[in-house]
Amino acid sequence: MLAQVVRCKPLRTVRAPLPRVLSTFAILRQAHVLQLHHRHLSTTLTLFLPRDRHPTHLHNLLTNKYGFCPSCEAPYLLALPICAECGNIGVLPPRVNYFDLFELEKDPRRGAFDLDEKILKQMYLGMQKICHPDAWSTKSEEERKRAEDISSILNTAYSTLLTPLSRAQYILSQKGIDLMETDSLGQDHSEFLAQVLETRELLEGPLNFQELEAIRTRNDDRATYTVERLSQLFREGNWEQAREDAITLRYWQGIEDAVKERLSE
Amino acid sequence: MFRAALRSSVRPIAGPSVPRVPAVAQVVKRAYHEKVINHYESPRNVGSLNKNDPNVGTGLVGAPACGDVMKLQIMVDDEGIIKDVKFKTFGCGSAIASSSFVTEHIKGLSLEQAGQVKNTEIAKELSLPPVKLHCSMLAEDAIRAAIRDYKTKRSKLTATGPIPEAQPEVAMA
Repeated sequence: MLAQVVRCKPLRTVRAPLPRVLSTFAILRQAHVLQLHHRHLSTTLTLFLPRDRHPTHLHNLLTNKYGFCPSCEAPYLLALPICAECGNIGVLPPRVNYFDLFELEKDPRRGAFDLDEKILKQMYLGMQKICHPDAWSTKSEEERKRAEDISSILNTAYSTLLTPLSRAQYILSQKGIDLMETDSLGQDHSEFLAQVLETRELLEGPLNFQELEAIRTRNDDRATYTVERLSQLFREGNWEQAREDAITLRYWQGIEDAVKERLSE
Repeated sequence: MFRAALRSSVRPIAGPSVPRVPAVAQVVKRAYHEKVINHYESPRNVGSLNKNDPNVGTGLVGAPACGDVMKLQIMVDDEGIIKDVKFKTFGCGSAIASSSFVTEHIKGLSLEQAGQVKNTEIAKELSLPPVKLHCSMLAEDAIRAAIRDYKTKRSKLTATGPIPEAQPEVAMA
């Protein structure tokens, strides 16, 4: 097993301080830089893994968690079926768990909801580089198509995990809890709905820029509070209440969209 | 951090929310029934009634999947006939069309008749596509909620004595 891992070198882990240009992101100081050389694409990928995920990634590599290339039997370096050695490209199942795909903690009780958006972005960009159309333009149509499909799944996965609302909805849907189409809020939520309606009505009326910003800030505060609550609820594994709070967040998002629409006028 | 996330240019992909402005253009392309477009472009009976008026019942409902909110108010006369209906809906085109249609439909009906309006009638009349059926359901829920509110108000009033004059509304946003 180890012999196969050795085959995937040059795999270097860099524990040195981060490049200066990145140090503006304070959060990245908490990350490890992992460089993977894609011989086939002649590129070196730089991935940023959260400090506590870094050993996991190495462990995943050593235990060949990602499986092997069916063509040359080299282990895959990431959760993508693209061989860094021979360039063989497989099919990524569309229902792959998005947290697994990006090397993120996937257990909501252990903070999957609280993911670091900057690290997510770095992983996303690194992985998109691997299946970028330019890298596959000289390949067969079949291979190009596969790379495109993987790229499209990555896009969906990224935008799903990026915002707290869609992330919460995704975690809930993985638990079999959906914000059902047919559900409606009624009497028990009248106070909340009145609050939403009041803000929406306010947004219909004449407002100057300052007033709009004030509404926006108030809405941001409410949304921040809801996200904090959601974080807590996910850690507790309180799915039903988390669903309620995700709905609340959906409404704050609606208000934010309405504010943006007004601002663009 | 969150502020940036909520304001991200990436629209949340979950939930079948339809952007309000482009909805009209898309509606034409997707061949929504012309009644939907008509109600969406020139909704009937938009507005508010005085919610403190003892003759007014207010229904407030929401569709969590879309983040829609719908307010429907009925004014009922002494014979139990719905004399006036007003609505305000913040949501997608189909939700607006459904509530607009419903206000026209229930005006002049008795409370009992209005309470029997089914979402299937609304959906059929507007030829809503299956993914938008919940909008008609929302409208049905709104009627029920308004009737319930009216009845609760009346039973409270009869319990406490003679019906007072309508109080002018103070803080109406």
